[in-house]
Amino acid sequence: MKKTLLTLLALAMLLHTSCITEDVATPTRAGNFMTLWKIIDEHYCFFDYKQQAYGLDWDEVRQRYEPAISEGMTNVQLFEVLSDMTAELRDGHVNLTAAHNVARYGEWFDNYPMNFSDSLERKYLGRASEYRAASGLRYRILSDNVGYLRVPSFDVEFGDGNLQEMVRYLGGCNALIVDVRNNGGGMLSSAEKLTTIFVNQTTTVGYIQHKTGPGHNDFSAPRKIEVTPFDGLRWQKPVFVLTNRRTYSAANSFVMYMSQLPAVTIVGDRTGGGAGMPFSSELPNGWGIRFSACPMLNAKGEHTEFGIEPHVHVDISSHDYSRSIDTIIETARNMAHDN
Amino acid sequence: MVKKVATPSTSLLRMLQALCLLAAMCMAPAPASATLPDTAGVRTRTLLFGAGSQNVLETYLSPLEYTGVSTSQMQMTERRMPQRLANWLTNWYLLITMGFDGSILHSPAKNVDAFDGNVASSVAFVRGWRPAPQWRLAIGPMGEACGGATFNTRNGNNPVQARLSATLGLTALGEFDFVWLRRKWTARLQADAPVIGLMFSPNFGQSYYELLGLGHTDRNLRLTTPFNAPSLRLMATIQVPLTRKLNIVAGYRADIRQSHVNHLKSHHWMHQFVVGISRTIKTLSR
Repeated sequence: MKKTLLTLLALAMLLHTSCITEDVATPTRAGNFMTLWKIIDEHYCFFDYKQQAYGLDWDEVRQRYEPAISEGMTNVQLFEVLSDMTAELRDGHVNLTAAHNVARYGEWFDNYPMNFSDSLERKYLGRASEYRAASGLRYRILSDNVGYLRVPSFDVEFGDGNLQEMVRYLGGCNALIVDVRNNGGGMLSSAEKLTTIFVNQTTTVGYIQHKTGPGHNDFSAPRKIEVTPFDGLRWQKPVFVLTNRRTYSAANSFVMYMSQLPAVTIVGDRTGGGAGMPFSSELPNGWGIRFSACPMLNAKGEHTEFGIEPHVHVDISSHDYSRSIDTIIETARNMAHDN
Repeated sequence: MVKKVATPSTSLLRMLQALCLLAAMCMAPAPASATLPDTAGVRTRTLLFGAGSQNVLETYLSPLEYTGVSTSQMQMTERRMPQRLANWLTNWYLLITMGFDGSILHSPAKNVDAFDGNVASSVAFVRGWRPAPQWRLAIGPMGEACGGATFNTRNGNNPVQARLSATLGLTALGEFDFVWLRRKWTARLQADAPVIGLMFSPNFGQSYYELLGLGHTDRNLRLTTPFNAPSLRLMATIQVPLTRKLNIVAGYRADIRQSHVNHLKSHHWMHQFVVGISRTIKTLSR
């Protein structure tokens, strides 16, 4: 009888330990708070860097915000507390999504000059019939024989034909301006694809890591991001990449790739950063959470999470604004003539 | 005077005894052949359709368990190995199974959907015994290849968790023939348990962009054992003849696939009611 009991006990233990499950809190206020804190704690990729940059301590953040949670609070109140907690990460890639609002950190652009204007963009691109548009790329030849390429987003995949036609059309220009201001990102593959027309050999443009475990310092070794030359016409003349604080995420990566190429000059304001590829997860109450998961480093192995300083820092002056002149484009044009 | 108290184990034994007695009263054993073919050159083919529920956890996508409805289709072929190949093969059987399943899943808050699909194929080589005329037992090694993916409709850069595995394990089955309501029935229970294998998994926070777009691999092929991937497939069916060569099959299927590698937890718990047909085919030897 004792043997039978022991066998049954062993079987029960085996069955119990055999179930692979995740400990997730119930959808209470405290449960949602703890789930959010834990998701970030285990998956966020810039703790060490931001601890050094401004003293971020995620355990201290929990201790500071946990007393603000009570089961009697409303959804909106809970959202406010959780939003404030995620804002401690100072990361535009961290978003808490609920039915009534999306929490987003905007200090990386709100505190700085816009350095871009739709009206000025329209002035330089001209009317719809005056510029070409293909796969989200808009381009034309300016009056001084400088090519102007406006890339508002990397959400679109650029085809080989799109790039081939663009380089052929702008090929006679003395220089090319690539305007990625207000480009909030999109697909890294698109940023890489656009870079391919500016390299003549396989080039290491940066590094990427990923987390290998839930610890704050569990990271893989940095691995190369290489760009191979475009199979067709490639741009061989000076390039000026225009940036502002809203050049973010995949656009920040594009600037990171381009900034080390010899014929490229970055002109404008510091980029917004956003150098962590974001992942998504969710809380028991259904709210979504997006966070930086895979850090990307520049070719020197440095973080660009807080942006890339341009080679030539220029703001659009209020005087130029009033005259409908884009100081940043004009600076690039002047530099193109000087080359 | 000593008062005897029934312990949990004695209660369990009594319940089992009562169930066996009830089964014996209802079912008279019949010396008829079960689903494993008796003679070489005879194949039993079974086609099953299943419907039920699935509970999925993929911590690469979400820490929450998604649940929903699942459907499946399975095709099984069973044949006795021909004696002409080798004498020792006389009591060995080849069981080939192929199938696929698909599920539509919902998050606990019901505001996010996920889709899950899997294909699997296995080959088992089992040794059969006949302890009594109405009983057949078989056990032997099994090899299985599986592939599948779970797609979360909300996630951005981590929308999919793909699965690929090849495992070696054990298959055990028992069949029991009985007569009930003047018909010959066959009850069958089959269990497949992976023992050792290899599976694909991204690393903890590795994106598929890095893995497929940049070609950066990092511990993506992992050894699986019952300790890090305790899995089990169970199929309990009842079969009754419709014609001389055609049988109707119905039963319950449990497909429990789990893993915990690269700090990523995964479970797929599928429970289905299955129904289908089974045919006996005589093949002519050349």
